[in-house]
Amino acid sequence: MKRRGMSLMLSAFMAAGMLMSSVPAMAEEAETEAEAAIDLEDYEASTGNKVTIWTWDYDNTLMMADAFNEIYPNIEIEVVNVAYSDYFTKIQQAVASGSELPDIVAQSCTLLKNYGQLGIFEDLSAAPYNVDSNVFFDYIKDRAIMEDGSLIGIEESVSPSGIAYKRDLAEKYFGTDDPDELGEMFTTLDDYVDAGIKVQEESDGEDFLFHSPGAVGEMLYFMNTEKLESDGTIHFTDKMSSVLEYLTKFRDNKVMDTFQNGTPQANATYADKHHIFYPCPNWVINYYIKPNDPDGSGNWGIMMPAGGGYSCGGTSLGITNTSDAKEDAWKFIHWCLMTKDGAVMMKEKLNFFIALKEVYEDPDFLGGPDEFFGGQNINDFFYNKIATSISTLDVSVYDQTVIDIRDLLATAISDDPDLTAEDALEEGLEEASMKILDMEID
Amino acid sequence: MNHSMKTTGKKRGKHWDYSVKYPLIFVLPFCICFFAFNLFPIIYSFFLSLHDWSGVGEKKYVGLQNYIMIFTRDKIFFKSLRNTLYLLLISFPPAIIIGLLIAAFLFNIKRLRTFFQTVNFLPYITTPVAIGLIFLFLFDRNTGIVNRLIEGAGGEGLNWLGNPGLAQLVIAFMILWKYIGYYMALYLAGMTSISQDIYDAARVDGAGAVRTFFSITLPLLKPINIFIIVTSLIGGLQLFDEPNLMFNVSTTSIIGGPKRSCLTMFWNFYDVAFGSTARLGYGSAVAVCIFIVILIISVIGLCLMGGKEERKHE
Amino acid sequence: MNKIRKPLLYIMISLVSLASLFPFYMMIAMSTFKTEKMFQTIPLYFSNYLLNNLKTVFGSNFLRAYGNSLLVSCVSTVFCTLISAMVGFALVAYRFRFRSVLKKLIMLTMMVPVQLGIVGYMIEMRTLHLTGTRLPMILIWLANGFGAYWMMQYIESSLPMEMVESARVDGSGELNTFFKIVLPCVKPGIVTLILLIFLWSWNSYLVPLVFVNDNTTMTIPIFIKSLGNAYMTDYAAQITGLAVATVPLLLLFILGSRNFIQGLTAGAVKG
Repeated sequence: MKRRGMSLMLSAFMAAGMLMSSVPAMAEEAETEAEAAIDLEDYEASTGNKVTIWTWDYDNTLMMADAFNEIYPNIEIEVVNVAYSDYFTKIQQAVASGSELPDIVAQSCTLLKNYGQLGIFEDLSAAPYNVDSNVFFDYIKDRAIMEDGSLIGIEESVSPSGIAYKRDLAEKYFGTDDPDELGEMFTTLDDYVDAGIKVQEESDGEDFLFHSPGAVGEMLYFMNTEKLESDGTIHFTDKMSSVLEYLTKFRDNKVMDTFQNGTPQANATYADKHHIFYPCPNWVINYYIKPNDPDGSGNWGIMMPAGGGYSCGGTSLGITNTSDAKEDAWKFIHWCLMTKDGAVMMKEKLNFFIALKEVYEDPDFLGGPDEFFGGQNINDFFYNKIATSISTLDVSVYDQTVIDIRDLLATAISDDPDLTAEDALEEGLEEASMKILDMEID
Repeated sequence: MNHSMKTTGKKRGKHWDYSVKYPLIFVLPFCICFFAFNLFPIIYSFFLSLHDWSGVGEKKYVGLQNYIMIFTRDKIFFKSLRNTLYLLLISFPPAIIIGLLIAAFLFNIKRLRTFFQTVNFLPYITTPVAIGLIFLFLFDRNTGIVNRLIEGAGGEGLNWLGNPGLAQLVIAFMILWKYIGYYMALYLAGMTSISQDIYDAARVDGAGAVRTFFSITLPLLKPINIFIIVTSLIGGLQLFDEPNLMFNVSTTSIIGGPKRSCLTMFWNFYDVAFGSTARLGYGSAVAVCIFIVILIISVIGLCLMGGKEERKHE
Repeated sequence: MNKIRKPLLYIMISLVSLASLFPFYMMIAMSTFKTEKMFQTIPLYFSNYLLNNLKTVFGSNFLRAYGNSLLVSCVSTVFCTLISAMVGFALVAYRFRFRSVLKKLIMLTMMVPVQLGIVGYMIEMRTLHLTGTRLPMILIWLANGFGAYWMMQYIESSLPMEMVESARVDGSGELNTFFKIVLPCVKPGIVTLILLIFLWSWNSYLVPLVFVNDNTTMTIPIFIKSLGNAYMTDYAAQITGLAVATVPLLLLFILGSRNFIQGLTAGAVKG
């Protein structure tokens, strides 16, 4: 009894203290903001407060923190692992419940506008950060800019996407494991259908071209670069009809297996001998392929997707305005994502391509062949063949909502052999009309 | 309190002690905590349900608009209500009946009884997170043990977790597994506490086993029946952990499972309030609607318990 | 006839028990596997990876989550049981105004889950500046409708009021009577409630899901969910962690099983 009373009293005191101290603290904040830009060259300095990052991309973020600490040894970075499926919810709950937010938030690109609406991020285009977004690639520079002109995060990678394949299986079924030759074999989505049928026939139904409807749905969705929203209308039909059409086609011809994307079971297929192609944005290499197929070095290749390269996914790092280590947080983001050294580290360790234009001017930057990919120069491939052809990337408040519906439909299609693309679209439209209340949907 | 003031004389002090002072001392902790941490949040949720609010910034008063939205546009709310009731109906009654039947067959077991009871409690105490993971593993379409057994027997594996109807069955099965042993243990405890004399008398009267069960055992078990029905209603209406843990595991997880067939009221509420479109006001309105649904069911439950109360006073 | 029936009964209950034990057994078997290998075989036997899994689990923040879970559950259980016993005793031992109102209220709250008010509760905790602490996960258990109802039922059915009366005659104060006479007298009921509340708060998922945002307040269910990279779920480590997490419950239930079943029987049957 006593203990509870004590702690209650204690927290009451704390509450009072916080209330009283908040006013001067705010004034102080205003002062520092008026100050000149942060001295990024001061490698020894530290605010003394550790920088907390929440991430679902734990291993990669740890690598970034380690590399950063070699340059800035006095800044402590704490990496907290939060499941992807809970991430946005957790941020929202922290905001609504007034609990402590991390200093750095990883903003999934499909939720950028939703993060913007929370109003918790520093405007990185203003002092003391003073980022001019023109230093980034044109197609991506406006994605993290909100309606009021504030820049809430810096993109980690432009996320160029190819198709990863297992060399031995490609050789077996298509007679070659050369990325260029394979790329020429698959120029339309229907080529995948034909190849899928062939694979099924020759393996007695054992092998599949792709592993998961969810992964295929994601690829098809991002291949279509049409804007989801314009003038208050969500173009659901335009965005989804080809996705649904090919999902049903793939299902009917058993081009894809039935794994639920991202589950441990699906991840285990990366190491098996039954699934050949995987949609492969650059981040898939470190998230999926390497951890799940540690013995697969040399057996992987990356080829051009049908219809050309596309950009899929991406994450921005932003600083919360309640952070007590903004300077240090900014040093971290700046070094990793906006310097040449950072760019090299991101490319070497994570296979990430930061959005800073100038680092690519150096012809040596992209480096040489990659062992894991059987000697293929995947960096050159990702950058020169794919990244340069990406068209303007844009996101709306409802991207994630539509993506959730897409996953729902992908599962439904793979389960029900009689579900047609038209029926699925209708179902999707109805779902959308229930979830999206303040915009037109067509 | 007025009442106690009216009483006079020496007795007043003692009377006051036993009708005001001590009751107050003993009741106060509960009442204070109840008001502060249970009732107040619900009242505040009701207040919030009249607003449009995402947790930050100003609350915008919108009157009953959230409720109008639920009743005119939000088919998902009603779907979640149907799902919950359906899951409740296909799982708890069978669990209760099977538990009761097994107990009836087994109640004259004397040796190792406590051991068996404890063992059958295990599913009930296993963390829902673990149950979700294990069932996910058992019923996975491609690698799950269930499908491998079916395929081994020459059949074709089913899409347990991807098909709406089957997914509901898996959840129901999970509930069955969790509760049958628990109910059995409870019934067993109840039955063994019924005096043996009653059974002896019944046997003398020539009553068969079945008749004895229906006309003696079952009526005497009424209190335990009510206990079980009430607690399973509470549990069933709040169903959230298991479905959420089974269908919210990967990067492309679907809220509510295939076709949202396993979206329960609580999951829907959680998703609306905290999910991808944070709407605390609207979420609160959903909570109030669930509250009303549960209230209606509770009143029915109360009548059941009230019936018991009367019986005892007879 | 009895000679055949008896063994048959035992075979039957053994089968039922096996079904109950099966997933439990699987949990233990799976915790000895390496995640990748788990999908290649049927993990019904024991493999040799248990130590590595344990290493993964204990190499992370598991102990802290474990400690948090223990703290939250113990504190919740103690106070909830005490408060419930007090109100239960008052409802049986005294005749006071609003007594029947309070009784009805308790029965009603028993069925209305507290989590429904979670949005309001969250804002309340925010206003009190309690978010980021473990208190929100404790406070919500203090006034538990089921606990109060249970204690009321139990005390009514198994506490001879004469004992309280005679204590009064002997000049014992009411609080003294409550702690020295009433509580020991209803021990099985108390043990039962302790076990249930501990179980429920230990396994509690929704409330921590809303309130836990950092490593320092994480409880086991939330911790397990975040264990391992989202893209390469370490299934085996998760299962191992859960198996370890079930140990306290197991111990409690084995230690308390006699009292527990006695308590359930008396509370639920005689009531």
